[in-house]
Amino acid sequence: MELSVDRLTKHYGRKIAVDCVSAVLKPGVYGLLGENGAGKTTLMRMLCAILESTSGEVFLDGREVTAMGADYRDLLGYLPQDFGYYPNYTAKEFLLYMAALKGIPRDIAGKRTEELLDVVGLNEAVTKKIKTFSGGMKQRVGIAQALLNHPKLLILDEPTAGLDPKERVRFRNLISDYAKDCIVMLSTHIVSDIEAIADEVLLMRKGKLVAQGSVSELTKKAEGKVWELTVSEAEASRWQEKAAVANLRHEGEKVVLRILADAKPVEEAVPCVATLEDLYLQSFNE
Amino acid sequence: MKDREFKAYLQGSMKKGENGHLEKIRETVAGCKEIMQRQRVHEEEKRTGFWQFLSDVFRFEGLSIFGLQAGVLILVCLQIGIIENVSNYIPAFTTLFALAVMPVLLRSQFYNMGEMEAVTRASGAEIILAKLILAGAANLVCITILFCLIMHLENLSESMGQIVLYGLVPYLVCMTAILRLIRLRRKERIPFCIVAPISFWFCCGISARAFPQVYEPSATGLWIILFLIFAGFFGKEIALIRKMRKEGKQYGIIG
Repeated sequence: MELSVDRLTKHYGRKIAVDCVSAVLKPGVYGLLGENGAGKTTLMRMLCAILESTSGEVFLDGREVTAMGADYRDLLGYLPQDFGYYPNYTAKEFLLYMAALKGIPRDIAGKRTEELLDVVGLNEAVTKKIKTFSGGMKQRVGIAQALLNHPKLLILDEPTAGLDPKERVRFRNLISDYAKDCIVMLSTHIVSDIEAIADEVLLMRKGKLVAQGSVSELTKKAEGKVWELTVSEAEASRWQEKAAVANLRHEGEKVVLRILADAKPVEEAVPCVATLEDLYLQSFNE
Repeated sequence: MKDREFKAYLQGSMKKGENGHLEKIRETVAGCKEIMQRQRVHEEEKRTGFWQFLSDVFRFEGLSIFGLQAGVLILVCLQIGIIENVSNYIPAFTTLFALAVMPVLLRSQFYNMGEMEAVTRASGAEIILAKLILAGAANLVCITILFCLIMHLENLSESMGQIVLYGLVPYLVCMTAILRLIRLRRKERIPFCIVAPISFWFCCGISARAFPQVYEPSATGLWIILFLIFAGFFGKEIALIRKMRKEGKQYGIIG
């Protein structure tokens, strides 16, 4: 299976939300990284065929997805960034309702609903109404509904938002397991989530795809540009003004700064191993 | 080989095998499980047809659709005995039935479910069509009961044809307006989608007192023309939903 994105563009009046994005996605996990307003959600909506592009097309195995209609949606699982729910439905009723919309026969829907509620750790809250759920529990119901039809293409917009660390680990394992035969695309601001599960990272900036590659390939780009420097508190604030500081850690009376710079900022600075977060910050500091 | 036979075969092999092979067999079992899991994922699953989908929508939405219509019917029936010139108020009554469909049609937008529902196999157009069929059925039952009741209880000078026209024209106006608003307006404009039909209902109520001449037998021609016009608009809107459903498109603006 191959999803090809060909020069996909979306304009909202004069504003360019997505600017000529092209990519070829094969089974695996793709992490979409970018600051707020970078065009991640718009891109995902166009991939789901719920938003018409200004120009460009999306193909699944050579077939244009909007022309595929229900056949395409049948292969699709989607978790929107801000999704609602019918407050009077229980988790089980909600999933059964979504299963009905996905055209899943009742007998299969019943079994799958139970399986998925178990997978997302909501088997004890099956009969509770969604309006009584915490944010994380609602998010897990959202993830479960996206998986109902065994999608071949799973698009998750900020899936880990609101999940506690334990649930994030559970989610990451679930997705890693799932992505063996499917294309999974997820966007998140939590870089560590992407680092942990993404086979490939797509970095978006101002609607453009600025970098694409595996975590190791991308972090290589930031190698030799990340430095650690131990300074006093007074100096730390001066450094924050004049350099790109990725992290700041207090050690006794001293402060350890993680600085992003093309060249060694001062003699005392020590080079350190670059992470995806460093690349992310470097890309958006430019 | 069936699952059970396969498991027994592997267990047998494990018992027979030397200790050194156990790890290999465990690996094989894990590998087989994985293959079976993949096969399950790749199996072509059956999908329900439109009538099964309609029955599913009825299961989830039926109570609210029929409940609201029944509620309106009771309310209207209570008014029939109190007000004079009931036939002049028929437009307001039938508009009320159309208004009672709105919560069901606008539900997904109101609860921000539109985006999630739009990527399902059913698509927005199919969901709206299913809801309209159910709501139409409920409307048909309730409005027929209303007409029969009016004809039975009141000694009306109007013919059944006039009563039907007084009822159908505003109903069609209201339903067409609701559908067009859902199709063309963004979800942020939901209040407008609600206010516009309610204002129309209010105008129907006012016209009963302010313009009684509209309900004279001499105005029947006007009602027939209006009926033809709005039946045309309504039919066009339904045809559009059917076309969108066939093409698997969304109904309304999602993103």
